[in-house]
Amino acid sequence: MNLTYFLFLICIIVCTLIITYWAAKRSKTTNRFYTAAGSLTGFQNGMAIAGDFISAASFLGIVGTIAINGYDGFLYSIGFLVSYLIVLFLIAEPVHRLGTYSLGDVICSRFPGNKMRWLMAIGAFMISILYMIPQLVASGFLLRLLLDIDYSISVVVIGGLMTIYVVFGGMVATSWVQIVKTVVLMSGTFLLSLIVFSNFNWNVADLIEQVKEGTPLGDQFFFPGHLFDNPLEFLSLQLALVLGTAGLPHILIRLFTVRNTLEVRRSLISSTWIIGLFYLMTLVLGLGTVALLGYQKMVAADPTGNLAAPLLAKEVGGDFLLAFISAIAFTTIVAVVAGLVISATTAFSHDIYHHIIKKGKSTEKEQLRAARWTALGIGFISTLFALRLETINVTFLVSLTFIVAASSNFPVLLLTIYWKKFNQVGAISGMVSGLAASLILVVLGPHIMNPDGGWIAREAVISLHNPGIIAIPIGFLGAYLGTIFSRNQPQSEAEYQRFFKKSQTGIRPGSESS
Amino acid sequence: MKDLTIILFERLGLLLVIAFVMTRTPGFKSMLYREFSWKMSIVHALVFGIFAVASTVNGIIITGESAISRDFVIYPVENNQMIVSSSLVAVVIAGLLGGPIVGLGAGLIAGGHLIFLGGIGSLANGLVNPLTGLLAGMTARFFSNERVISPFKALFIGVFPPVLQMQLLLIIHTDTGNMVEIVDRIGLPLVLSNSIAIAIFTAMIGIVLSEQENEAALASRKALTIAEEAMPYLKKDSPSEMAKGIAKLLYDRLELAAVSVTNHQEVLAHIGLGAEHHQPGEQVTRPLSLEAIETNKMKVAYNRTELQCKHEDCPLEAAIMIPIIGVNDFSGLITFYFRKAQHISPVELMMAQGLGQFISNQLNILTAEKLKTHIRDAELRNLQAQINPHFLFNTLQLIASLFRENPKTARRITLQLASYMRFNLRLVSRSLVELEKECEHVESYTSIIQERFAGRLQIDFIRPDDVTDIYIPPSTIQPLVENCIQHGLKDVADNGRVEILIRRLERTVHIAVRDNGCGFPESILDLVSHIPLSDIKNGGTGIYNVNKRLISLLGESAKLDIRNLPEGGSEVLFSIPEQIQMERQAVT
Amino acid sequence: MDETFQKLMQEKKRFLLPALIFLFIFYFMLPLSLIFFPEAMNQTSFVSGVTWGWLYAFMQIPMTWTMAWIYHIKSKRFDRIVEEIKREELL
Repeated sequence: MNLTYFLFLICIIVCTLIITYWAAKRSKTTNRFYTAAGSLTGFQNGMAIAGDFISAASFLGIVGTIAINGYDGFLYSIGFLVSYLIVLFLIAEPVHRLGTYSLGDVICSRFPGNKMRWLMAIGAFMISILYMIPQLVASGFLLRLLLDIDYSISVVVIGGLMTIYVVFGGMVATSWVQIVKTVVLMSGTFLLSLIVFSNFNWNVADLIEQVKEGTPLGDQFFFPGHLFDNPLEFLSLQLALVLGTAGLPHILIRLFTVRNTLEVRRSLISSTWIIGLFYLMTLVLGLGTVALLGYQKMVAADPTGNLAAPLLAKEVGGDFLLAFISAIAFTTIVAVVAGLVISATTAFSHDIYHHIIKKGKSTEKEQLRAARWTALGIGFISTLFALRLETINVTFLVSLTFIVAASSNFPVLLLTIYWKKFNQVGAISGMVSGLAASLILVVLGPHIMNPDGGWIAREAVISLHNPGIIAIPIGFLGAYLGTIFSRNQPQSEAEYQRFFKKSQTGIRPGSESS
Repeated sequence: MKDLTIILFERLGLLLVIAFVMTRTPGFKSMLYREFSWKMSIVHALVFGIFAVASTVNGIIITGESAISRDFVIYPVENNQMIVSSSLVAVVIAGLLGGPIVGLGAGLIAGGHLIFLGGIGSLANGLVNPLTGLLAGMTARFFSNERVISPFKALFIGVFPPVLQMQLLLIIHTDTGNMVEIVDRIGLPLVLSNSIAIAIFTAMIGIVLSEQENEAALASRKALTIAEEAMPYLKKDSPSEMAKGIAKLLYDRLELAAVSVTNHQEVLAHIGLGAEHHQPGEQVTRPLSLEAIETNKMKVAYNRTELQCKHEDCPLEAAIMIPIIGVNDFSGLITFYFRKAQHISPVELMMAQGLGQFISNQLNILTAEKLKTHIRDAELRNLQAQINPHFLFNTLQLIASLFRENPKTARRITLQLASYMRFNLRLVSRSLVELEKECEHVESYTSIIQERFAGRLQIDFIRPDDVTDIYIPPSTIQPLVENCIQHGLKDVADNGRVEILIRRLERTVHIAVRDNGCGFPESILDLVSHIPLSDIKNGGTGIYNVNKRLISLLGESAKLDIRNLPEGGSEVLFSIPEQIQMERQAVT
Repeated sequence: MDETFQKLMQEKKRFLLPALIFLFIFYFMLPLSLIFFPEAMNQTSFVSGVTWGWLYAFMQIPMTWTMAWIYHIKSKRFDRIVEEIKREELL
């Protein structure tokens, strides 16, 4: 891409960011680190949640996976979407009522103590890094496509820039970054889908025909099984995806930013609409890529499929559209990165620094400084990891995060809210076992242990790409066993009743507010 | 692409020149400031729509790969040609300034024109105009609360409509063979030229608005200065002095041909042209003036007939009559005279209206203030006159009991009582008395008391030798002593002591009254000077009374300072300035 | 006050349990059918060109929207009961 278009790309990114800045100034929510509660309506918050959720993985990765693998790619979309029902039914309202700033608050409202806070913060930290890595990988790919720079250099440059942005300016990021980004992303994707459809004269059958021609899989394209040869994979993937969202800290803390449970419900419902529509559109884009661009050309440019959407844009709209779509992709990445870092640094500076290290006595400046160091750490570590992951489709990387979240945060959260006999030891063992299991199983899996190209060049011990079906039960089991075998006195029945009542209605005996 | 960009800028330059000239016309300025109404929205939409059409006419046609036609686009074009128009600039501005409806209206006009002209991509070009107008209108409210969005913001918002246009071209006209190349060709130049043009146009409109605002600001400042300077005249008691002062002030400050001030019957002052025959004392006969006074509404005379001046060569042809309604049925008229009716502009009318309102209000306020002062004085006097009936009662009993055994003492006490009561009567008429007299008052009281509680109570009165020229509100010390005896020492059978201490310092006089009784209960220590504690028998009111009068007359610095002494008992002290500046009325 | 709370929990359970069961079944039957009935899933459905597999996967999206909406409506009732509990608390 020549320089003019690159400048155009920069221009769009700058415009979007500036618009975000104005939108942020307009609301009374200030540059606070912890968003003031009650300032967003349900719908606005829903847009923000969608913005936090739809990352480069969804936009770039899923389009690519669908283009290459057909049906199996679409399963990711489904899993991502349905997971919101789990959040809505089981997790959202209790979390909203129990905590104020972070997930640590929620768990600690039943099990107060430093150990829990540490664990939750570590979990949040790790999940943020895992979610951030695919964003950096995606941006590395993008930059390579646009400017022909080597992948490693791209990743380092982007990682460095993002970290600088978040450390020095990104603390300004509020929910409005996500909202503006959602609007821009949805409209851009919508328009691109329309372009794809019109290329087939609005005839879906034609589109499907063309797809079959564009892919080497021919008719088989629409059949499942191209990505996952082991049928168990399907089950494992779906399990991890559907339970994972309920364990993602940076999504769940968005439930604290609205005023009451009605708005919480509205937020989640709005998100499901937006995310559902988005995945429909990515389906169109994925099919469109393989139909209009063709498998060969796409894979020649990028075998992972991460660049399917920009390549499609270039095909149907020239450099102009390529620049625009790439700008949207970048903005998406920046917004998600900002959201992730905010949530992770919240966990750190609020839970650990303020509560534990400084015993509740730190000034705002100190907290901000601690937060900045955390942001720096996250950026650095993510960049390091991203450098080694050039060959993987980013959707998969994100699904790793879901596995970790579904095995560690989700069991602990669920059991804390609903299981009477659950105790602190159980919570700790649940978290630890979930985290360990998921990470170890991934390391032993075919992505890392791969005779050709993986980090460890050996046959994979566990052949599941998505070890969710093993890791999640281990997480639950760990929590259960820890509770049963611990010598800790469980809470008295009355205490649990009080806690449960608060989580379901927001009423604390002796107080009246929710 | 570079050529295209430059050409587009050239064309836009032409448009911006026309726009600039337009913004200088008063019609445009007034259009900007009208309030919202359906009619105005339609007018706005039309104006901007026409401007958008002009942008299209001013646009260029591209044919095939490289040919660019520089003629004006007046007739519909061939099927293989495409119109590149900058109509989006006007449409976006319409939306930003006027909201979604105006944007939509302008967009429809521009879009319709484009569809009519035909050519490649005409449908998409036509569609994008109303869509952009609508969206621009909706987002403008979202981003900025200012009347006109800042050029900077407009610049960034202006990037997106051409992008939308390109997308629509790609969506709707996919079957046109080389749409992708066309988009590549015209996309960036349109984005660049449109966004910059929008920013410049917005800046121009901003200048117009700020000019108007400056004018308004200047007028306001003038009005406020006049208001300030009018205050001293309004305070004058004599109506004709007030009238002359106000008339002169207004004549000097505003550029009027003449100013006259009248009451409801006759002219009180007239300054300026026509002063020879519009003399003070002349009757007010003009029907419009009388109407203004009756209805309390401003009236304007636009020609000589309405003005009804009896003199043939009176140079005054137009006037604004402003009624003033004061209190006590004072009513009058301030009249601004002009030589020609055209000199009356909205600024003058607004100024007149505002001044009329202001002066009426001020007169009311000043009267109310005078009234308040009277009331306050009456209140004070009332407070001062509260005598303790129980004291009277007990003293008469004392006299009665002394009658037989000790007639001399009885006589003495009677005289003291008389002196005490005489002093109290005098209270009602004065706000300040000589300190000497107050000391006498205290002594007359204390000698009665000492007789009543002979042997059980000792009262010491320490004061400087020279207490001349010091003034104090009457009956401020005696109630304090009374309070000590009634409350502090009421349970003390023996060895009761009261000490009254007057000390003269640098610029103040300190007065303290102490007793060695039971002291104030903690709970009421704070309250006792602020609230009349009427449930304690006759009590508490004394201190409240004194405190209120001290503060009222001498300010916060004279308030009572009450505390319990560490060795038992209580102390009340206050200080008064040595020299009291008061208006003469207070002391007489 | 506790009875009202019990009532709330009962109502919630009465809704949530069936909803969750339905959700799980509907959702997990998808991968399970892919495992156990791969042939059937690849038959073309009543929509031309679209296999059952795709149709079923696609239906998850409207299912999600519908379930969320139903929950929203049901929750108004739950909210009313919570208000009742709050009022009882105050007395």
